[in-house]
Amino acid sequence: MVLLHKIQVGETVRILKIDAGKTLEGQLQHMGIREGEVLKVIQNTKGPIIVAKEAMRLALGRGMSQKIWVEVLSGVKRDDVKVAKPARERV
Amino acid sequence: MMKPTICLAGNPNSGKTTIFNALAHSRETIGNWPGTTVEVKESSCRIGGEDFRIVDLPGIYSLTAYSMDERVASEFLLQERPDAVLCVVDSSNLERNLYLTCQLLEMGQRVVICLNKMDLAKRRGFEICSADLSKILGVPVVEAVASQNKGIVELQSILFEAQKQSSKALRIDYGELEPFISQLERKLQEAQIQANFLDRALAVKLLEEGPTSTEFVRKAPRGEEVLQDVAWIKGSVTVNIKAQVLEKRYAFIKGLVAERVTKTLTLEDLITFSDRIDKVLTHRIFGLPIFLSAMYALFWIVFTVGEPFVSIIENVFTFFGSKVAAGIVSFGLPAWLASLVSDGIFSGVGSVVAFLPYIMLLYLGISFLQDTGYLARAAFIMDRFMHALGLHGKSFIPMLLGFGCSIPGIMAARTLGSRKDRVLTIMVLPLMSCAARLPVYTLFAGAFFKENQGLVVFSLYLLGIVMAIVMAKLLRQVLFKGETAPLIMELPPYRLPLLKDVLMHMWVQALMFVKKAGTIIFIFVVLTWFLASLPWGVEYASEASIIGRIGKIVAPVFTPAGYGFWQAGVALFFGVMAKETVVGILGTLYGAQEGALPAVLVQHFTPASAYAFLVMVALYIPCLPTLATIRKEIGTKWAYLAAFYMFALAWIMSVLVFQAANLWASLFPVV
Repeated sequence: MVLLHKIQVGETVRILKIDAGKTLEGQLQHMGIREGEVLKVIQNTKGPIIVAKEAMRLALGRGMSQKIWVEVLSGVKRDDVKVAKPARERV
Repeated sequence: MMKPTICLAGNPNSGKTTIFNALAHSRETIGNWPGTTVEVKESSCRIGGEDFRIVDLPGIYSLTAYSMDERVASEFLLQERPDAVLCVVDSSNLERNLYLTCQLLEMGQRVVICLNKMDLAKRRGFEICSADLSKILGVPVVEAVASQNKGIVELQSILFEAQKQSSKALRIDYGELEPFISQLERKLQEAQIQANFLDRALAVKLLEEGPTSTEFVRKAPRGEEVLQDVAWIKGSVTVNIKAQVLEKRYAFIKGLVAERVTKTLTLEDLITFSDRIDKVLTHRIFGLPIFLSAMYALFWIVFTVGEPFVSIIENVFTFFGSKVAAGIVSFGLPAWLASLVSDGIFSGVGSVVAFLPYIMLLYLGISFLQDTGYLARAAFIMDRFMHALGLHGKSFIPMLLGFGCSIPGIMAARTLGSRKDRVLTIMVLPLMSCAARLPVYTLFAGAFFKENQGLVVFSLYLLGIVMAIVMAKLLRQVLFKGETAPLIMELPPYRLPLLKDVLMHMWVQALMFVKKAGTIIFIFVVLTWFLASLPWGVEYASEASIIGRIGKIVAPVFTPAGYGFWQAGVALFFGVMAKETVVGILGTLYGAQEGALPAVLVQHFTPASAYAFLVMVALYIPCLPTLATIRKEIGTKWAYLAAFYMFALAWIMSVLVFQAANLWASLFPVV
């Protein structure tokens, strides 16, 4: 189990648990971000991150991404290796 | 007879507003970032020879009222029973969009589903069997590509039929919650509480703790009884009700979609062109500089391209003002009428209309960026920065709109989910220099700082931003303790804006401004003229006139800032009605046409007091329409607080600037 903000660009993850308050969780759920859904990380800056859920692109604030527990499904895609090389964790 | 009502509902970015425009033939703004339609917009349309009222609800994800927009939509549906609900669905994002559709169907609304963006869905590898969808849900389903005007005619005829038919409600099985839902339904009937939709849907909403529904029931005569039952049910079930409801709804949608939609592409294939652009534009290092350059370019273009047009308009007004005045005199009409027309109306209104080009260009730029989808990214890029200031990433868009006019900015703050964030954003937003303050800046900058005009104007914009930052920090610490709600925002795919949409958006804003100039400003300019001419017989705009006396009372307040003379006092006093009138009123009081005003100003102001005056104009009390909007949006006490703190802030800064400039001059006299 990892927190979403630690996931590198290009990786695919499954949501295990959303640990935000009722309101935030509800807001996410109504946008289709729920436990069991598969996401792909498109952008991960020091601030907010962008995830893809099918065709939808969602910007999540840093604080938000630190409340979403996920498991990594796929490794880094080949053509993204260059991007992902500085694999050290940015916290 | 009341016209039948058609109401449009849909997720943000489903293309709802485009469809509204196509149906209503009205001028409406279309945006490409979530939540452009911040309030319920109405128009009328003619379908099949009959007149309809057409209502555009804000873009929402559900009817559970997490944000102000969702509140507005659910309140509308509680209070009104539309004859048909057109649910606009982004077919390239079907599952999520159908959630809202389900809620509407469960309510027993007469729903027509419009599968919009079919072209995009096909490109993304979705094959949707809409006939099947229609059969299962029991409502008409129309495929459309609103941006290309495809499917609109069919939509019209189906809407026409649908509003006459009886509605069929969707019934989702909520499993172990079912007995409780039935119990609550009976209780609602017994207490004779009826919403404008099915009791069952109201019961489910109460169990889901929907705030608008709960409030609705509480207000009913026997509402408390029902709410006691709700509380009892919550206490006696072991499952998490909200989660259960959500789970069952999604399970239904999944089942629905699984059989009727074929996906030929995987998540990996869907990494699109748009994402590649985002790799650059939202890059963690390059994102911010690119964004700042874009903003700089926007303002540079606005002011460079706008300037020649501004002077043309000024000249036209001056020319006609004197011609008409001469005409009046030659017809043997009294001289005071000529003075009212040329000094009052032409120079007053003219000086305001003159900067219409700036407004048009600014909104042209903003709506272009908005429709490409870049503005949503701006919120993403600015989130980290805004967060550090105690603001929210989404606060950024309202504040950007504030550079045009505070009012649309304040309205746009509705997209912020948390009230704290929303109030804070609104409280500092008027510090962004709106376009109405610009003519004051350019007038004084042109008169006193010919060499550094651009720099002076820029410094005032910057001052507003810096003050907003300081005040946001301060207010967050004093009044709004606690964390900013984290950013959750959908990023629409990049697209080339439709010229029609961009122009229409600009046109609406320009029209609003001209109307304002034509009414409020006109009234105040004429009022000023009368106050400056009464009591009869006094010299026009002299100290003996009523206005002179008002000004004299106000003026001493501004003595420490270097402009403690009555004309400045009057201009600032009336500037509270609308900032742009400051120029018009100075023009009226000094009896000078737009072109001659700078020469007159130089006789009264020094560069130091002129700059101090500009600081005052940049920061002081928001105009009355803005205050009225603040009051409407977040309450009376906040409107008072805004007026009070901004005046205090402006006065302090203005005095500081003037005194510092004088001190500097005495220490380093120019030889």
